[in-house]
Amino acid sequence: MNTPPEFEQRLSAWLEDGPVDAPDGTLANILAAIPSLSQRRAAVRVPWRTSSMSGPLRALIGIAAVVAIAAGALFAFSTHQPGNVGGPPSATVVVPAPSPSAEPATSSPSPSPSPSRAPSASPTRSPSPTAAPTPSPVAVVTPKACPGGDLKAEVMDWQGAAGTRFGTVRLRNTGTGSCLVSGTPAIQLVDGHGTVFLDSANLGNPASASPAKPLFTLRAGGASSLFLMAGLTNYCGADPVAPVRLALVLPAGLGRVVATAPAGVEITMAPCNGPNVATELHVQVPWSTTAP
Amino acid sequence: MQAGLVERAQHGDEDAFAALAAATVDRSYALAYRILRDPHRAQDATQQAFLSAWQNLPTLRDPERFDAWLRSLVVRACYTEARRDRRWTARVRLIPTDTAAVPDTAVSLADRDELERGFRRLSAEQRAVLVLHHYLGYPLTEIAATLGIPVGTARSRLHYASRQLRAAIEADARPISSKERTA
Repeated sequence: MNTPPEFEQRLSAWLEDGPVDAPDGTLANILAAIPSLSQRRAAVRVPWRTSSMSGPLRALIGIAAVVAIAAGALFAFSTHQPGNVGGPPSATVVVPAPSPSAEPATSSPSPSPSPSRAPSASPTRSPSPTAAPTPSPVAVVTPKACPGGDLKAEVMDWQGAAGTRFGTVRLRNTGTGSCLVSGTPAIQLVDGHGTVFLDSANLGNPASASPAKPLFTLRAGGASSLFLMAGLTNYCGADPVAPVRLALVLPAGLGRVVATAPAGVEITMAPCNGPNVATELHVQVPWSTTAP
Repeated sequence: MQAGLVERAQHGDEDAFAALAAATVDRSYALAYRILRDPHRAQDATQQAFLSAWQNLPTLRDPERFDAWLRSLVVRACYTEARRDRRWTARVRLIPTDTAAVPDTAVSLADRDELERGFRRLSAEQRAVLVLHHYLGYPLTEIAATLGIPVGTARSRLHYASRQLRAAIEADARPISSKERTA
């Protein structure tokens, strides 16, 4: 190696910089996918022969093997003669060749979670000295996207500043299994009669499956939470019938969740800055594992 | 202790595998990030490597070699990820504060930029060998074992990767120098 030491030091120092912790959700995604993945069985290694085999026995076994192969070949040849009338009709069985590019089976309507992708064949042909860890394509079933019916949302706070109202929404999974959340929901404000009087979808902010990443796993039974921040500016409509509630419309037709609010948290309207100024209702900070 | 967990996980114990994954996911991600230089791709590669590890764990003959075996899976997952035909799209992301707070070490901002651009021109195989050697500090024998290649191949790959990185950096710097001379 003729690389100057100074260059090596620069390179090492540069490589040292950078993240040392996996992003939130990485481990959860892995662990959520594991129960649906079966393990490959270890190969059973049968010795070619026992050490106590005698010479004549070895010769006999060899002869028997040759005879068996020859008989098999003869039989196979005779059954494929064109004049072999009366024989069983031959059936062609097409067995798809395993392909490294095969797509895994995923459970829809999961928005293409990354752990569902099949491991690809290794580009390195030489085997590793620690057995063959070459990933192989395997059907993977990942947790499904969270349906609205399994989710519980809660408006944790609702504050005002500089003509804007914003609030933190916590999302939990009340279902029986882990499920996945990604994308951006639409936000609705619902009055005391249950009527939607403001819908972000009508203000240019519909529910969207984008961004598909990060993809979060919500554990069952409310064991984990996600947070987003909703924002409202310039509301010039009529005063809604109290209490106003906030609802999330999930992307990909996964349903709608009306958020609850604890005592003391009241959803108030942003002040009207003028009828010519656009009203905005949107997700200000997307899903995150920590409250914004 | 880890060997015991590996053996349990080899027999399908998901809790044991969860413990192994929790103990190794960060350094696996750190390795993947340094090869791929993209947090999302690194996360994908890390997840893929662990799923592959779970599936293939029963084929691991020596539980004591779990770390090295997992590393090789991470590197291979990075190769796959790097080859994936993916459009580079601009995304708005929140930058974690701890990343922004990384202290300025011996590498200046200009240096980082130079290295980043040069490094991105290398193949995934070249990046991997540089990361294993200069980040993890592995000797050639360990690099060869991780990558499943002969030691000689590891040596030459490291040599050419370093040379190509330096050449890329010099090529980047050349037009600026000539402009400066004519100014």
